[in-house]
Amino acid sequence: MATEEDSSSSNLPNDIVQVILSRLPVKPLLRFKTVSKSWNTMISDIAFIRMHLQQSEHSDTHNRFLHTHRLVNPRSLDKHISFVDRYMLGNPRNREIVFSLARVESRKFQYEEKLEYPRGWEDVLCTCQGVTLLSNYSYETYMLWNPSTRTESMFSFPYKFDQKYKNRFESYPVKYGLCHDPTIDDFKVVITSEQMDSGMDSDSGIFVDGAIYWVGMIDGYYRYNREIIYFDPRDDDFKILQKPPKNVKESEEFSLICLRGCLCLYYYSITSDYTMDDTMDGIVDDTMDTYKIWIKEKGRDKNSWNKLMTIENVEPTTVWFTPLCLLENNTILIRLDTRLVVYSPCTKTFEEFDEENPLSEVRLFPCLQSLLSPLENFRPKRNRLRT
Amino acid sequence: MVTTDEKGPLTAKKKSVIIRSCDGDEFLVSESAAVLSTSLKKILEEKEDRLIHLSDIDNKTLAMVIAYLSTHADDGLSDDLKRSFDQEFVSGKEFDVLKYLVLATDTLQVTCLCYTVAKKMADIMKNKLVEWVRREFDIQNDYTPEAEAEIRRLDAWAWDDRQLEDD
Repeated sequence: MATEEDSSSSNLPNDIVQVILSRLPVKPLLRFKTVSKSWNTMISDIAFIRMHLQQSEHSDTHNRFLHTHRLVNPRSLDKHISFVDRYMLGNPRNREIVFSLARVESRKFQYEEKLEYPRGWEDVLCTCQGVTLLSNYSYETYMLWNPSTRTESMFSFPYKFDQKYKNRFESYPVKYGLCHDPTIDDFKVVITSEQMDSGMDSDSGIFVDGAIYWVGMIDGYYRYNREIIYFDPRDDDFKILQKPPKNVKESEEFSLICLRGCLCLYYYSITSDYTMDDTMDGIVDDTMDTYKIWIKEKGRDKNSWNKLMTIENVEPTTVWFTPLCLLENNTILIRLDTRLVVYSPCTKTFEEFDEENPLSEVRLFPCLQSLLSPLENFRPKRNRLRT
Repeated sequence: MVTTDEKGPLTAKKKSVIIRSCDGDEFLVSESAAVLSTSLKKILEEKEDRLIHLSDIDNKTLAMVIAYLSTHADDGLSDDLKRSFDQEFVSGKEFDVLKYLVLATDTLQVTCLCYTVAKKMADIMKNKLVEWVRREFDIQNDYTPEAEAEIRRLDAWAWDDRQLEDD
């Protein structure tokens, strides 16, 4: 007769089993809850969930994206409706977002299965540790959704919006942020209606190291200054983070992104680091654009910045420049408008990535393998941004 | 008193330790390789013992760990080469062999190898049936059929894989 000890433990000690299981994707982990009661308890335990998340953040699986593709109902393609009307303000029944998960693997997107759910959600606002904040078309109902576990919880905006903020296309955009606060083991959703700007194309705060970061416009003596503003869930307050040192010739505008678990800042740069020799050798074409990426030291309370990469030879016609993730051999995956390219800083050249699937009407959001479940109970609390 | 690498590769290389497996085989290992294991390092720091007996690691597993330690102690190899060695090291190994390896890395406290092996084990496991996992981890199913079906129902979508393997 097996003793209780025998039936609940394997021949490997529990801590090693946890090390092994923490390296599994979410899907098999959900299946392995049926291995035994003790495995179910272990996989559902918050300590294991955090350990697993930490693995997701530091392994190759962090190159995983939630891929959203907006389908337009062909009947809605009325020539008299402008582009903006059709895509932004049109009848919600005429558009549909299809979600899928895609991993970056051997220079291609490897699509995991298409996600049937969720339907009727209009906008992906931001992500944090594998959990996504979605909203409906009126921005009154929201959903926290973990595509890895396919769990979700819905909530409504707890306060009456000022009319002028109600439609974000008519006034200063409302900005969003999502963070997971380990002290309460719950998510905090941050919604701001101030003049915050987190980049060229997105209103969403970047979650890194337990805080949410945006690019914010701070009222200075003569004009608005762009600053990095962050929300610290430890004291529920907004603070300003020091920016990396900048050359006067460099653009005032910048964007934020999370690369390899660190906060990064990138901007268009008028000056480049190339030397005369490079130009003469034809390595760098000076009619092309240059972008610079800085990386912040890990840790919420650290703010030393280092240069991560300079990206040269970018076509000046590029409107949408977004770094997506760092790849092997010090290369980087970048979105240039509707193309994906892999840039190598050694050769200063671009290589096409997954040419068969162009990115028109596609948005990509980082999506970690995560067991974190959005909890059901929301306790709304209002905070003001003080600047 | 034996110290670690600060004496430089020359003196470190000269010194060596004998490690004996549970089945009695002895391996001559350079000290610079041995100290990559936190437990061996501690033993060497505590006493000037040149012969270390490991009562719970068999010779096959110990030989593999020592091959790993020696490669990682080689200053002549670049980090890239060491990384590709790691990949090569775990590739093609049976799950059973990896189990002994991961236990040995735990005893010897060789963290990087432990993680490499754990990753490989996870890669093998991810497409396996629950029954396979129970067999390999020697776990008794303590659910009633109804309770198991209930857990399964909660995440029904995770079970639609057609290619789950049982070997």
